[in-house]
Amino acid sequence: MKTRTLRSRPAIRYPMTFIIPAMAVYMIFFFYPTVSGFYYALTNWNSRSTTIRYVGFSQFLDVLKNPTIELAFKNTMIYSITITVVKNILAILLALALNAKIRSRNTLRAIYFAPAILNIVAMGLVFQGLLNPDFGFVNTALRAMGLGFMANGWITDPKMAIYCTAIMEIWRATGISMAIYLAGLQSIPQDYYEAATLDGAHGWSKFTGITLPLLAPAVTINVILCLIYGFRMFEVIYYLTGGGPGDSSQVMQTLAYKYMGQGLYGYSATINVILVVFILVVTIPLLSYMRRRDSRLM
Amino acid sequence: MKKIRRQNKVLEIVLWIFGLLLLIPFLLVVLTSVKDSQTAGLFQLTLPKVLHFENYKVVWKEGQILHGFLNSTVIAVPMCALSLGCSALLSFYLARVKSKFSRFLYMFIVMGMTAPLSIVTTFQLLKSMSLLNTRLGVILVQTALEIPFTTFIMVGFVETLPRELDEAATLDGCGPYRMFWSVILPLLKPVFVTTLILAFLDSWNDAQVSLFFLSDWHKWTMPLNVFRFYRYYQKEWNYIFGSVFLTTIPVLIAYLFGQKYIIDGMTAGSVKG
Amino acid sequence: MRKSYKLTALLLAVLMLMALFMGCSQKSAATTTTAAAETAAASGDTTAAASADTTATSGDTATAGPNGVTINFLCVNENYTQAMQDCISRWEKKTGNKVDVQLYPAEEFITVLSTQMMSGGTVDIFRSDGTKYAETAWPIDYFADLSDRPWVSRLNKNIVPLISFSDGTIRGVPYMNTEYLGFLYRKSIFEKAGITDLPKNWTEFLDDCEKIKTKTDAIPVNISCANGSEFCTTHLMHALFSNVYNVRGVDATKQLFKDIDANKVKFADIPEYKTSLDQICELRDKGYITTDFISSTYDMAIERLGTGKVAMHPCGDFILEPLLSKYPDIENDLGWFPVPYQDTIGSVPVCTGSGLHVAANAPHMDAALDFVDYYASAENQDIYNQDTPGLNLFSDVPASNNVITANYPTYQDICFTEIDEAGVKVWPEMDARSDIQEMMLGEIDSKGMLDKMDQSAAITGKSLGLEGW
Repeated sequence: MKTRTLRSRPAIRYPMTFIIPAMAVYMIFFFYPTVSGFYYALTNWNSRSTTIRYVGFSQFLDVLKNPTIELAFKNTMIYSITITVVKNILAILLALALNAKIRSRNTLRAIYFAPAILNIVAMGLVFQGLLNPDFGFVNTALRAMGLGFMANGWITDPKMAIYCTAIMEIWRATGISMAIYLAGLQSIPQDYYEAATLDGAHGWSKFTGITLPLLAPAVTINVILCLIYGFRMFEVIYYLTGGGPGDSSQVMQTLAYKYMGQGLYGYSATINVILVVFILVVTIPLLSYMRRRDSRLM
Repeated sequence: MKKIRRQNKVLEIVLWIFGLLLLIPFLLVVLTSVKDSQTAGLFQLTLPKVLHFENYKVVWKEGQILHGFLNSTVIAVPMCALSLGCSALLSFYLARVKSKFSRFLYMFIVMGMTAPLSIVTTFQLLKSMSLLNTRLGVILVQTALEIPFTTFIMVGFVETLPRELDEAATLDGCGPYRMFWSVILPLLKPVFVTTLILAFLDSWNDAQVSLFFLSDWHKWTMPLNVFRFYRYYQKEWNYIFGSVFLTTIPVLIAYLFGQKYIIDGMTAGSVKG
Repeated sequence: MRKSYKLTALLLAVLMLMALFMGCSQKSAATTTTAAAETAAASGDTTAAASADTTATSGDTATAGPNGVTINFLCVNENYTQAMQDCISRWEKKTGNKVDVQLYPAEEFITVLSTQMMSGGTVDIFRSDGTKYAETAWPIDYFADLSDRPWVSRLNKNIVPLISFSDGTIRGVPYMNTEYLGFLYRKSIFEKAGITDLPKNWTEFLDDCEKIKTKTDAIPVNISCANGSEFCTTHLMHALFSNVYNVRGVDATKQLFKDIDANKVKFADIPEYKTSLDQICELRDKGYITTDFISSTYDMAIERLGTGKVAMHPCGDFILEPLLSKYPDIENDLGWFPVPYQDTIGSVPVCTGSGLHVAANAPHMDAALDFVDYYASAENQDIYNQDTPGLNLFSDVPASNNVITANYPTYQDICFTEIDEAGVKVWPEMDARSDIQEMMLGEIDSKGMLDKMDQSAAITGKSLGLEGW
């Protein structure tokens, strides 16, 4: 808690000019085109006619009545929540481990970050090869180790396909969350720990008393990022399973892409708008809650 | 002390084992790049009978690797500078000013992360500004897409810096700009470098913005170079993966470089006293 | 201060890089113009010339002759063949004009072109996935009407209906092989199995499969149905579906397609479609197909056919180039026959190959039309056909055949039909691909698949605003 001093507090100036460069670029090159793009969700824009007819919200109802949408929605939730939970737990553990005094720390950090830099298309093909049920590396290795019962169809099994995409994303992006947590850990002043040791605190209480609370903003950042990008994810699912087998691993963005491929551009835009609205409805309250909690913890 | 050192040794070994397992997909990338065309497309983790390192000669020449590298760099570096610069300033304002306006602005910016790129309308915008087929246009669009992401991260961390710092700096006679530059930024180094790397990664790996808004295929960036190996009715996987592998190397170097640059355990010594 | 030092260093580095890059592109412009001169004259080429050529013919840095015009050509990497490059070079030399070729990967091409056309007036010439199939990708207004061009009257009679748009006009001309979908097979495996005559109906076909299964090590039919490779299986489906033409006749089939588009007939009501899917399921149930089909990709199909692990693969001309470049020795061991249907020899759906089109609002209309006219001229076609075996468009130009089209005379009496995908507006191709995965896995049966296709057609029909939905 800040204590008021007898001296009057200096007036700190935070000029509005600080926001101008970012807002200029953001508004002109992102906000304006994206929001104008939303207009197409209200039209029947398709590949067969040059005239675009306004159809209004009836298209939204059509989309929501589409049985595949329900499946896509469910998959989007499964995917997003699975990766958020697993990535964050692993990332915190990794960040803590890689912040310890280990000699090859920098190399290890690079290794764990490396999956994030690989092109996703290539990665999808690699995983398809590794997860091939008959001669892919994963099943072959499992059988060789006597764990043959764990070998299953992976992306060829309609029930497993969406979880395989989650696995690939966890492999790919845990390093990014780890990097953010590392930045968070590195921002915690060492003197806090030294002061705590002087006060007689040891490992676990140092962790719960200093590290965790001061990592709270990093947790918020990572959780929100994982959720938003999880809901929005296209490439990982498309290049690993293509939404298949059948439609079993379709998520909202891959479904939108499928309709775009059929030439139904307006319909596809509607799916996008529904997704955006959904993400906003879920993440904004969550974000507000987490930030309030953060300011309490700090 | 000895116990901690032994614990750390064990930890190190465990991390290495899992780390190497993690790199298996990379191994497949490299293996595929040195296979012949018959077996490359099967994506099996098998050692080819002959290691065709000469594939990389073809990749280098036909894949226009150097060109792609320069194109990517000429786009990525200004994009990083612009997006980090803009969002650092913006996040400083959003983190420090607690007004309704700033709270609204924060949510407004964060919302930017939820919507994907709208190709047709962005194309029309760039066309009206004569920025089509220019690297500047690509830089601006990539920056606009990146700003919500980098701002979101940086606001979270700027908020952890105590306000007393600003007060101390203002007392010392700093205007807001010098305060930002000399006091805040240095303390943000780990975050700044991490966010810089993530922004660089986004620009380097981008295969959407550069594809749609650069019509000259000589200006293709490194990720797009793989398309040069999409031949009539077939894709030459061995060359494609060679190109993919070469694309990852600059980023890896940037990451290693960036990691060394972050000094460990920042001391916020300026608060005391 | 150290900070500004680093900043200036960074700025200098950026400027240096940009200068370096500008320098590089100047150099490449110089080398490309000389390379263009060389390769235009040469006929036989190696990959070295090919790579020089790819940078050469995109004359973005080169300028057109004194009265010359530069037209742009939006094309796809995968279809920017050597034959087309040479054709472009010949035209450039002849007219002094230049062609600025813009390449994009196939997946994004439709979006790229739509984006450019919507913004108006930037495209002269573009290619499509199929001369008639183009109608499903873009509105008919995007295409300039070419029906009055001089070369139209020279087209082969059987080609004209296959490339005409739904309003009867001709708005494109193929520049790559017309695909005839059927079974490509390995002659040596058939010999080993003791098959002397090619099957004339489905029963004989099943017998032949049994012979292959028992007397050879090969699997009779390759089915590849992995994500991204489902087209290998839907091609078999199209081959069988086209028998509707044989059973009902051309006019009745055209009416059927109209009825489907008007929601008067459902896919599930068409017995020929159900029988076709049942035939595919029968192959699976009798054990004549590759069992790992759900993870078998297009590349694996090529490997299996090339190494003789499978005897037959359902496909079209397009597979010949990758197959023969990887396994050149099997060229004389390949044969082709249509997919048998019930007690008939089957029919052959034709996908007219990638087409060349002129944009309706082309900024350089005359030059663009001139290029297409040159492409279609007898003089060019003569050379072009030698480079592209299998393409027989014009009645006055001798054709050269590939392994598949060499069989055309044997099957002249069968219906060579238009592929349904191009004829039916609500055709759910993307959904059909995922549905066929489910059918092959046994999750739905043939009727289930047709029902799903009907559901997808309903969404398309409603969205396109067609009558009856």
